[in-house]
Parts: sequence; structure tokens; C-alpha cells
Amino acid sequence: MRRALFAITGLAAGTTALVVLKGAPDARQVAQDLPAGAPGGTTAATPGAAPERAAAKPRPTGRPGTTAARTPGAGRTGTGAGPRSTPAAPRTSAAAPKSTTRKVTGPVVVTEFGNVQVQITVTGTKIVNAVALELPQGGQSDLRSNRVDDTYSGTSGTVVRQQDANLDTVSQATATSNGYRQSLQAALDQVR
Amino acid sequence: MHAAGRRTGDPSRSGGRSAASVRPPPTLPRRGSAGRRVVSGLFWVGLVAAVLPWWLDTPAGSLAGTADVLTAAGRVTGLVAGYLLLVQVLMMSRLGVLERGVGGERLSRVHRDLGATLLVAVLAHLSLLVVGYARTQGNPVTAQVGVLLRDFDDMVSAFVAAGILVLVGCTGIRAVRRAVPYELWYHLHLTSYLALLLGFGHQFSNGAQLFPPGPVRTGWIAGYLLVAAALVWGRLVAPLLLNLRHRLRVADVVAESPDTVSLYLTGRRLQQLDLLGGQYLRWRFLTRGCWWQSHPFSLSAAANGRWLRLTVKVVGGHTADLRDLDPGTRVWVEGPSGTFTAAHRTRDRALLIAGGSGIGPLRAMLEELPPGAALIYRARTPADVLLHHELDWLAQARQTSVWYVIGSRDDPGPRQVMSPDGLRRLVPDLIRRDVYLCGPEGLVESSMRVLRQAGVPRRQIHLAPFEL
Amino acid sequence: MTAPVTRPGLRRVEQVMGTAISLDLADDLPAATLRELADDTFHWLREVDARFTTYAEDSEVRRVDRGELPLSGASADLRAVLARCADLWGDTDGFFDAYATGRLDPSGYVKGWAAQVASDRLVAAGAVDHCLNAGGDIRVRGHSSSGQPWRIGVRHPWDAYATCLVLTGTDLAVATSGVYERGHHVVDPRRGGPARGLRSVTVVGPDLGVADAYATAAVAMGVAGIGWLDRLPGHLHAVVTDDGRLLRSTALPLAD
Repeated sequence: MRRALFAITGLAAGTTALVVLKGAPDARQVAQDLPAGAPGGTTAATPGAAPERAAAKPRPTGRPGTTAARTPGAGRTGTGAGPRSTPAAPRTSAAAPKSTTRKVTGPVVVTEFGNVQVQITVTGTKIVNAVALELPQGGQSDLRSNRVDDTYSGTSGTVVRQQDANLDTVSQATATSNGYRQSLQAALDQVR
Repeated sequence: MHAAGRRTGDPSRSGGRSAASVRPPPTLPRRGSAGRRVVSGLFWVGLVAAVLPWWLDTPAGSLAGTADVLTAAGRVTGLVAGYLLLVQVLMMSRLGVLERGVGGERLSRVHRDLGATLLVAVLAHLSLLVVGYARTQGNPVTAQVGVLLRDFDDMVSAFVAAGILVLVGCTGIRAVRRAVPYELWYHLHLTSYLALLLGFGHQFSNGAQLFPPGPVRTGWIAGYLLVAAALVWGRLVAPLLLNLRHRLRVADVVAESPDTVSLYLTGRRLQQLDLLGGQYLRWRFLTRGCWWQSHPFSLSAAANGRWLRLTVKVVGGHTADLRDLDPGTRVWVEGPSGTFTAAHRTRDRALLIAGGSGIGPLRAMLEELPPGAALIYRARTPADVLLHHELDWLAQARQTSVWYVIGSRDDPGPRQVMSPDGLRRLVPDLIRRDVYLCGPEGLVESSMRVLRQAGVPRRQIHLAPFEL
Repeated sequence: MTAPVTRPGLRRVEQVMGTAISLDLADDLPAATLRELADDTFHWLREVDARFTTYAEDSEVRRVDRGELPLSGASADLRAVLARCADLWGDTDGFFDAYATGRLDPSGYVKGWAAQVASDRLVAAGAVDHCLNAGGDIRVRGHSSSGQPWRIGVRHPWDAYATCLVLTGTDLAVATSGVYERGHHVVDPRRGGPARGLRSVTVVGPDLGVADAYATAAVAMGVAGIGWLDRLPGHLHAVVTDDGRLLRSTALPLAD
């Protein structure tokens, strides 16, 4: 029985230690300290993988050609509207006076399927876009092989990234999970 | 007649060095504890491997807020619980490697301690995740349980599995265990396999670490398959082969005392049976009233290639039935198990302390210990001394000192012998001997205490597989 | 730089059905009319959400599923949706299944259908130039406020900030389904090589609900889904495979 007590204590201590080690103290700074109205700044979110993404690609007004680019102030004539600018490129929207376009990133919400993180773009008081920065992996594709290429009527090629400033909207797989809702809600809360 | 410390096997006469050996004593080679160390090492490696995926999947600092922390802790305890459940079942798979390498009796003890841990881990996993999810989604806890049961795959069966484990865990508590009949307890324990099955699905449909296909998921499933294979082998295939090979039958039933019987069994190719004195087997006597119960009994004679013997004290329904067994009754047997053997000694000489019918396994072991062993046999009255003639004969043949200590626990004689000084007087080199204990719980506990007071290291003390 | 708010029309984003739905009305109509149209649209979407959600126990779908409400007593909308789901189940060889979760959950079709109905109503009300984006599934009609046909990007599966195709048109339903994931090559442990599933499937057709269901089904089919999409009458597609190939119908209306 004494060994059982040891084992249970070990379980509790081990679990606590693991969680404490992972949950570094700065984890709470999600995006609350976002400078309101920071022109086009990509808000630093949780210090996990997501901010690395965001930091590596500081897109001036978000996805070029998405709704953000169409908002007043963040004119689509800016230099950032061309092919993807390098991280060091000057931020176009910084030149725009009184620009109220900003991006707010929700926290990484851990769901049973993986991590979800939503970023919204706000102009004034309106949300003009919501993007999932991170979505769970998963999905078990059926691996039945099929020689489609022989009879395929379409064309095929490699996937090319396009930057198009003149997009009206973007089609993408929806994330309707609870995690998406939570991250979105958190981002919305930060705007208020 | 309460003659304390009545001493028959006088070393100088029947067990003394001068007495000629009846036959050259074939001493059993030692079997070290390497196997045990490997197994316990594997256990820890497995535990780390079970939690590692969570560690690697969770970005540092991603646990923001209470809900995240609760959920993370729930996941960790879940992984630990899943792993422990597999280990628990594996330990009870009757795999020969474990039964004879680690020892069935040690497995049972670890199984009970780990069982308590598993129970706590399952409850923690369940409650942490329910509260964690409830906080994340802003639901009341009770509503969250509803959501989990309704909206998540395989959660109903997972909750049932948790219920079964809690029930099984509670019957493992010593007090409860004593209150319920062995058979009920045993069959309740069998439902843990159901828990294994019912808990299987939710790990993969909802487990953050196990849902995505990959090495983690594959490894986890492989673990399940391995345990299932071990179960099939240890519980079905190996016993089947054993019984087909030996086809044991009851040969004779002999009354040793008013409440003790010896069963003699014969079978085919018994010389091929790898059996050590002190080991036990699980016996199933195929008669109308007994076939459905399987009970462990130690052998009371070392393997001799011709017959097996178990000496059983009649204490309950099943043991009473054994008196009425007819010669020729078929016997289904599983085993052998246990590390309570001469092969697991750490020193050259041994002291054996027996109480009542606990003499059986020690009697079997005596034949395999190196010469110079000592036996202290506690019995309440002279009529309770079993296998008296055999012991005297062995004392001579194997140069063993035998002391019969007769009387109740509080009589002055037994009190004096069963003290550090008393033991040292009988066996001066006590602390350089292995001590094998087998008898009623009270005797084992008090002997243990006295031996530790006398300075015998714990690892030299060997406890019998079960209390008598 | 132009002065703010000179552009005609109205844009609005709201969170409905667990996702962001954005409406872009490009007609040069009075502001009050546009606001009213937008109000009606979102009101309809919220109404659909309330009736068809599986998250609320008192929704119509849940009541029908539990058997409390006989199908004959259900609303015409629900019966129509269930009939379409049954058709889709057959069309997709069972890969689109409103009962896949073990209980009635038509939400895989409902979102697209609701957006399609909303778009149809907008046209009937005179707003012939609009774009409705329901969580990535898009119904466009007419022209954008620039006077050009609508331009619709398809998200790059490995880069949330880039597109891999740009479509253009004046009457399109565009639905994308897929699994986005970090890292390029995912090793499939069962085969020891890169997995060859479908990362992203975009279906273009006349009806958004159907297009969405087809895209979802094709992803579930895996590689076999490509051949299936190729044989679909009246629909065009673009597929990105796990190994980074883009396959598309030759007739797909690409911009430029």
C-alpha cells in the first residue's frame, strides 16, 4: 500500500511538473496588449508556432488582395500590394494616415484534433476578414490508388503560390470547430 | 503440551555435518534478478514513450489559463492511464516469462499498487478533462458531461469503461476484497478486459496525440496488439500446450491431519515439467462442483518426474471439496509461477520459517537448497505439524537443522524463539542467510519485524506467494 | 489615395453558424436599402442556424433526429434539405453522409444551401451584384464594385496568406474543402512514402450547397476523388494533392 501511495504521489507530481514545464508564465499574454489601431501590425499572439509564422511573414495589410486591402486608407496602390514583399519591406499601411485597419490574433485554442488559431482583420469597428492561421492536421484520406492521369480531362501541374492584390474574396476550407469559434471569439473580444 | 522450542532435528544427530549424505545434494543453480531489472526498465521506458508524444506536440508556453492547464493535465493522466491499463493487463497475462522471471506473487503485489494508481489516473483524467473542456467552452460541468457523451465519438463506452475500472479498483481494496467471495471478485476482475475494449475507441477518436495517423498512433495500437497477443498466449495457448503434454490426473488423496489433505497427481512426461520447489500452479479440478474455479496452490514436494503433490488446508468451500476428489479426476493446470524458490536465493545458506500449512512450499524447497539450511516450524499443537516424517528424513539427507516451535503466539516458548535474540541463538549466522517466510499473515508480519530488528537485509527476506 | 467611403455598396461580416460570413453588396443602391438587404440576409442565416444547428437540443434538426417531430411535420426547408442530402449520398457513392456522425447532421450541406438561398433572394430583391462568403464557400453574382467580374482566390493549402488559383466569374458557386497542414511532405507511415491524399478540393458549379458537398466528398475519397470529380456533370474542379500537384478542369474560369 505504501508503494501505491508513492506511485500516486509520483503521478500527481509528474503530471504537475510536465504541465508546469510546458505552461511557461508568459503564456497568458495573448494579444491583449495589442496597441489599438496599430497600423496593420500583425499582433504577436501566443509565443508558440503561430507568432513565428506571423513574424516571418509580416504582411503589411494582411493577405494582399483580401478584404483588408480594399479598406479605405490601406490603399491597394501601396508597394505591399505587389508580389509578396520581403519581411524587411516597408509597411505600406504605416504611411496611411488614420488607418484603422488592424489585425487581431486569437489565442491558440487546443482542441481534441489539434491547435486552432484565428486572426481577424478589423477596419474601424467592422471585421472585414477572418483567417485561420492554424488548423488541425488530420483527415484520413482514402489511399485507393487510381490511375486518373491517363484519362484525365483536366490539366495538372505543381501548386504555385500567387499573390494577387485584386482578389475580392478567398475560398478555403471552413473551420467550424469549437476551437475556431473560441479563437475567433477571443479575437473579437480583444477588439471590443 | 506446550513445550516451547521442542527440538527434534538436533544438528549433531540428524542434521549434523557428520551424518553421511543419503544422496549427493544437487544444488539448484541461482537465477539472478536480471530479468526483473530488465522488465522494470522496460516499464519506465514505456511510460516515457507514452507521455512523450504529448510533450513533443505541445508547444512550450501554449498552456494559457486554467482551462488549458486542466486539459493538458487531463491528457497526460489519460496517456498514463492508458499505458498503465495495458501494463496491468499484461502483468495478468500469465506469460511464463513474467510469471517465472518477475514472479507471479510480485506481479500481484505490483498489480495491486499499480491498480490503485490506475484508478486515480482514470478518475483524474476524466474529471480534469470534463472540467477543462467545460471551462474552455463555458459550459457547466454537468452539461459538459452531456456534451461529451452526446457529441464525441466513443465517449459513452469510455465512460462505461471508466465505471468498470472504478468498480474493479474498489474491489481491489483490501477490506472490500475480503468481504466479497473470491469467485465474485475474480469474475468482476475479468470485466477489466471489457474496460480495455470499451476504452479503446475514444483514445483514437478523441485523443489529441492518437487521432492523427502516424508513428504514435501506430505504436499505441501495436501496444494493444502485443498485450492481446500476450493474453492469448499466456491464458490460452500456453496452458493448452501444457495440459495436452502432461494430462494431469488425481492419483490419490491423503489426509495429513484432521484439516489438511495432500493431493498426489500423476501425468505424462512429468520429467519435462520445468518446476521448482516453492513455485505454485493454478489448479482447476474437472469435477461437477469444481471445474469453474481455478485456485493457486504451491507444490509440497519438489519435482521428481513421477508425481506432483500439493498439501492444502481445508478452510473453505472449495478446499473442502478437494477431500472428496476421486482418483482419476482430470486436472487442468496453469503455471508454474513464482520466484519463491531456492534458485532465487542470494546467499549460500537459508533459514526457513514455516507456520501451519505453510510448510508445504518450504518442504519442496528444502530438497533444492544447498546443505546447511535451517527450518523453524511454528505450529499450534503437535497435531498441527504436517509432513513430520518427511521433514526428519530431509533434515538428515540435506543436513538441515529443524526446530519445531509449538504453542500459541503468546506462550513463553514461541515468544522467546521469535525474537531477535532467540533467532540469533538458534541461527547465529542469521544475517548472512536468505530467509524464506511462509505461513499465516500474523506470523509472516511478526517474523518480518523480528528479522529486520535482527539486522537481516530486506532483499534477503523472501515472502511466500500468498498468505495462508 | 481616395477619400474614404466613396465606394458604393456595403460590406458586412458577422459570425453565424460557427464561422465568419461576409457579404459584399456591390450594387449602387441607397444605403438604407443595402442595409435592409444585409439585415435580411443575416437574419435568414441566423434563422437557418437556429433551426438546423446540432448544438442546441431544441433545434428542429435535433427534434426530428430524436423522433419528437415527425418528418411530415417538419418545415418545408428541412424536408427539402434532407431530400437533397439523400440525393447527395447517392451521387457521392456514400462519401457525403448526413448521418456520418451516427446521428442526423446535415450541416455539411446546410451552410452552402443557406448561402445559396440567400444569394437567390438577393437577386430577386434586385441586388444582382454581390458576393457572399460563408466561411470560405462563396457565391458570387454579377460584378464587384470595380465593375469587373468577381475575382475569387483559392487558398494555398500550405500558406494561409497566399492563393494557388484565382477564379473569376459573374455567376459562380465556389466551395473548397480540404485539410491544411504545416510542412510539405507528410510521410504516410503505412506506406513509408509521401501520402497521396487530396489536400484541397475546390468545386465550382451553379449551387453552393451541392458544390460544398461534392468538395467534401472528394476529399474523403482521396486520390480516387479526382477521377470522380472529372466525371461530374455540370461542375468544374481544382485539386491539390498531398504531393503538391495541382489538377484542374481545363474549363475552369481562371483570371488572366
